[in-house]
Amino acid sequence: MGVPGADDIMLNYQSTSFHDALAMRHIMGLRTSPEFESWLQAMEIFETGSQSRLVNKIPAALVGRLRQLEGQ
Amino acid sequence: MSMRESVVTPESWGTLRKYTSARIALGRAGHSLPTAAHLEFQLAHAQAKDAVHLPLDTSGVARSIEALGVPTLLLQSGASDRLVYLQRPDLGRQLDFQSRRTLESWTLCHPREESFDVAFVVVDGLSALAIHQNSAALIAAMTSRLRSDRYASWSIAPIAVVQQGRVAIGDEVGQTLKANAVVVLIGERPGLSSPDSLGIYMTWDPRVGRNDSQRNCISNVRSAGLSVESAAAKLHYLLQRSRFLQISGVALKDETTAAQAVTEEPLDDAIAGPLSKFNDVLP
Repeated sequence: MGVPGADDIMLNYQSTSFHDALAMRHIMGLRTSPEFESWLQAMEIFETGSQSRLVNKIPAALVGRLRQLEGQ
Repeated sequence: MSMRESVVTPESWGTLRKYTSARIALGRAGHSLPTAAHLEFQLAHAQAKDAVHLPLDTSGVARSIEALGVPTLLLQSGASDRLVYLQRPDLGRQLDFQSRRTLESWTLCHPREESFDVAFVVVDGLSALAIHQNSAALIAAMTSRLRSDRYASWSIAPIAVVQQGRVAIGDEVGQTLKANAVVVLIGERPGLSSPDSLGIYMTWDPRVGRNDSQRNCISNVRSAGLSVESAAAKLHYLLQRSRFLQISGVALKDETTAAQAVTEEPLDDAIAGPLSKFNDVLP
């Protein structure tokens, strides 16, 4: 399960985080399901062709929305 | 000394953090949490545990409630201490022998022809901190609202302050005091960013054995969450509707808007609107 920072702020639960999932996959040498991996690459979260390397810049899909939110 | 590149990769969309206290955009070291974020999590977890184990200052809470001109009754659940309380939820839902006698002797000494319109029960639950910080202010806001209610007069039972209690203990208190409605103010399970959150549970016609679908809940009452004023406005509305319809729980809906919920005034329009709508569809 993925909860940001392992802190379910609405239900006051602690759970596994996105960091945990990535780190555990990395340590165990596991990959996500192929369709999820393609989605992560298409959304520019994983680098193209990579099984686990994260993109360091803001994904294109998010840039426009962030600008809109910040009133730019 | 040469400049070394930080091992922490900050998140490029960190600007979103200002909209929430959720732990988003924490950055990463490799694929794991940066040390600073990890330490913050551990501190928050320790604070949550402290909140669960903090004992309720019953005399302090009772004093600040009595300063409002309302009598109090100090009660205890069947759970004798915190360890038993955490391991035996059933005992937290019932009064101990002495507290039953306290309630019964109070009703014998104060015979009444009619039931109370409402009983408030202040319960430590899982966070005494929530009660210390929010309960007296909420009782103050509610007594002031109910005393100046233009639609109905409200008789208020003495306010019970219960140690080691859970929500359902309000049913026994309300039933014994002969109250038409019971309102339980209880410390909520502490989250990692909210060790001081108070929950409100309102039940029409309290009886031992009521279930949670028969209650209305207002949650997250705390300085960084729902304000005492907004919570009191919602509770006042729910009490008025509950009394008129003689129901509570899933059958009773909160039809206030966000704008109405922050007003200090009694919710005239909120009451008149939904009630007239309801009357139209009654047979």
